Amino acid sequence: MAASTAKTPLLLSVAALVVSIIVAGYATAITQSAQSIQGETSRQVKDVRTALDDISGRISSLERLVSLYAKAAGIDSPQQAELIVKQREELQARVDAARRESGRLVVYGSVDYADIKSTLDAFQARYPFIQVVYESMRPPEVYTRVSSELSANKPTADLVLVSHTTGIRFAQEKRYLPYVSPEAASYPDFLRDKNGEWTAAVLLPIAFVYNTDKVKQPPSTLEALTDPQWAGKVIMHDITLGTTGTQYLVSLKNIIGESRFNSFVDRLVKNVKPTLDISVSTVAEKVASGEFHIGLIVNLHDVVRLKMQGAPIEYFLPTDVPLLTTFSHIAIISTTKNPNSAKLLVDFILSKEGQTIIGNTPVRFPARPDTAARFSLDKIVPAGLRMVNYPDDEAIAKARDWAARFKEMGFGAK
Amino acid sequence: MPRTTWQPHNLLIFFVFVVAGFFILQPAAFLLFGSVWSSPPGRPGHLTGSNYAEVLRDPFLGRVLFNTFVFAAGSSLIAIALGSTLAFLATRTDVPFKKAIIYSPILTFAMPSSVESMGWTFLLSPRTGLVNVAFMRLTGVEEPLVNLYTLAGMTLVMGINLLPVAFLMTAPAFTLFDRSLEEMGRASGGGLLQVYRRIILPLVLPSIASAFIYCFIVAIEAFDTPAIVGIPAGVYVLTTTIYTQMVSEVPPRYGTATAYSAVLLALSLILITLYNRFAKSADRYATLTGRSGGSAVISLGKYKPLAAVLVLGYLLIHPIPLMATLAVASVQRFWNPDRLLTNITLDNYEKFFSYPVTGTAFINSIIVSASSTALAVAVGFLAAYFSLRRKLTGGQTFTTILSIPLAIPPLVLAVGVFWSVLYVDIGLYGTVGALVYAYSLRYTPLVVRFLSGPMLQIHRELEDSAVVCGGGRLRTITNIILPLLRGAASTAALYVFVRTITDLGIAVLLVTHQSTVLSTTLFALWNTGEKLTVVAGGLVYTVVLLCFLLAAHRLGFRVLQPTTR
Repeated sequence: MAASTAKTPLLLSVAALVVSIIVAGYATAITQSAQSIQGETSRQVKDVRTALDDISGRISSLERLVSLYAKAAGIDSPQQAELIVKQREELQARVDAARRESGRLVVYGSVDYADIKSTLDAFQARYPFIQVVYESMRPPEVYTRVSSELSANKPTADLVLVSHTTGIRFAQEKRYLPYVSPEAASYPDFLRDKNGEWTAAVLLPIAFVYNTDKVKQPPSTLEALTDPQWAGKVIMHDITLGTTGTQYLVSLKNIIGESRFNSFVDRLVKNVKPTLDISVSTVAEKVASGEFHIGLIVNLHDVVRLKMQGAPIEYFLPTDVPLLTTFSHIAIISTTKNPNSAKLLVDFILSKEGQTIIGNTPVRFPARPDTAARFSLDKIVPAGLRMVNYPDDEAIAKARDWAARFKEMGFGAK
Repeated sequence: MPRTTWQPHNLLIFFVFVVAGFFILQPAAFLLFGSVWSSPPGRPGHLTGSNYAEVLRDPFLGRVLFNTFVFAAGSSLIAIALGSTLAFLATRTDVPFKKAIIYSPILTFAMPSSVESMGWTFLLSPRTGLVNVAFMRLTGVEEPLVNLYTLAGMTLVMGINLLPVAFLMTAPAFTLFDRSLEEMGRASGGGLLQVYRRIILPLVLPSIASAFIYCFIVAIEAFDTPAIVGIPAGVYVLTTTIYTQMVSEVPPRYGTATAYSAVLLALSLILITLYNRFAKSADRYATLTGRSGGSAVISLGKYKPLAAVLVLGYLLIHPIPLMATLAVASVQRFWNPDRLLTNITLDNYEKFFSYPVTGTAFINSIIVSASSTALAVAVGFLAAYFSLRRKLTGGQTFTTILSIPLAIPPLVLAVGVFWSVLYVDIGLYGTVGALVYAYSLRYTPLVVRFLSGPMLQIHRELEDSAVVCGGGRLRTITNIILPLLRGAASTAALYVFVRTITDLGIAVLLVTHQSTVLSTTLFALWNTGEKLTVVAGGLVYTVVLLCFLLAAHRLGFRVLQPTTR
């Protein structure tokens, strides 16, 4: 046991030595490998950094590109982009659906065919698989045809492009298919129905007109306009019919107030006794010819057209009389068998492109405010001129009563 | 001629009467229904008398009726007095400028009547009418010479507008004449005036009366002149009242408008009954017997200068200044007498020809007008024949029924036809057939008027002798009646053809894109204020018509057969 006991320390020391050698070797190896790892890592980090730099460079240039694209496309936010994509998909779906429809749209319109033809041609060039048939007639005929065809169960028209005063009856009778066009967002509230049943397409502002050869300075107030010096020299649209003239005056009453209106109309019939004419266009023509010095209630587009042709006339508005404006609106008839084609036409007419074509037709005022066309209203009238939509509710509902009242007051009949 | 008894072909004729009667009465029935229905036909509503009550309550009704009567009676008197005198001079006498008198009234009616009325405003407006401008400049007087914008002014303009119709309706009667009667008059020592008054005038009286009634009805239902001249003058007549309710307002007041139309219809039916009563004594006027040849030229003798002045006066008052003014207006940018020379342009013609649908419209117009003319002349001839020559039971009633559409203003009639073809579906809606239907309805009564005067003048014995010689009824018609009526029938056909082409307004409810006609093009231009383009279009019509007449003349076709010996 003693021998074994004596051997033990030796063994232990040998073992310790071996262990220590191994440990030392191992430790050296570890240190060495740690050193090599450390070198490699720093190399790799460097590589990653370069890559990261590269990536961030790419990302920022991508960002620049995206913002450039967005800027070029006029997109401000991701939500907007999403909306646009959604709309584009909807449009594509609509175009696909329209392809499966009859390929023929019938429009009843009170805007003259010659004035709307180039817009429709552009639409058909864009969608060659849709043929647009435009029936041009006056508002009463549009009303009679659409309402009679519907009650006879023979719907023919897919859309109407009709004066608002007429079309509003269709809306009241629930003849329209509600459709909020993505383009409608660019239109002010008074030019579109909140349910999307109709949207304005062409503006029809009403003004007064004078002959510049005969009158140096037009009357600046309603009081001056009713001065006896104008007796026999004034022509006005017939306000005893319940149409444009009547609705204009009733709407004006609600703008300038009852008492001022009463004194204006009183003085007008007593002092001036205006000649009445059945056609709004004739009023402007007869001032251009010099037969009358002043014309009341004329289409601004007639004045601009005659002026372009060299006629000695100019429009005017007495103080406190805003530019009362009505319009022709576009709407889809609810019985249409081609709703998708019809929606494409609505979109196109309301689009900047469609409105620009309308606004370059002599002389038609586009309804979309941001249209840069030859006859955009902001190029015709001074900036800041007050514009008010007419006819108002009373003018629509009570036009006939007022027409009779004007007749009793002595307007017209002799 | 004994009254014809029931025979198979009579049954056929009655069948035709019933079918035709249905088509004729249908639009009027819709309109009458509209006047007692609380909403437009085809829509839910109830029977009501309120429309008529409203008409009776109208404080202006008396005034309107008075104006209507003065306007219609006055203008027809002017038209008939001048028209028949000119017709007599042009067809029977040795007056100078014969051809000019025959063709100028025809040329003026190629103008839509709205354009003609506008031409008068260019001539006679108090401050800018050329006549008044010239008068005021030359004399220094501040007041105009003529004021167009009065009841008298509009009556005069309408009278002159109607003159071509009066002329064309009375002229054939003067040519179908038994010369021996005049010779007898002359032989018994009558002067020209006496012969005219005692012999000629009484003999053509049926034609004159029928033309007068026609003019009266046309004037009662005329719209353009009352609107263009009357409304600025503050003079309302029945049609301007009806039109403004039916056509200007939205939704249209069908109820009161059709009630007013019913008043018009009643007035016209009274006139037509009067006329029929008058025509019953037809045999008294039959003058074209088998015994004599045609008529001879009457020498005017000492009255020739007077007649020449009359004819020249007419030419210088109506066709020449009117056509010249319209020609000038058609090359103006806008009308202003101070700027006539600086204002010249061809834009109006360019606009007319470049209007998007002019091409299709032109072809459709020819088709529609030719078929309407053929239908109207055929039906009108048969109606006149069976009511005046072979008095078939019901023939008279049929002719009266045929006259009903005449008493309805064109745009109102268009609404009636519109409702008919829409609710009674026989496949006409949206086709040119609807237009042919409307135009035939409107112009068949005119053909009857055109033919009945001359038809009454053909003596029974001509037909009877044909029957004695073994000719059947058809042979009698084709060999005796038709050749004798060729002049009147061709005048009627020409008139209907031109009127259907220029009739603005009746088409607008009935056309579709495929069936669009020239008149709707002009109507659209008129409504958008391009009135001078409409003038240019009207002149193009006139020139085309002139070429057509010249060609026809070369081919031996005469609008009127003036006596040439």
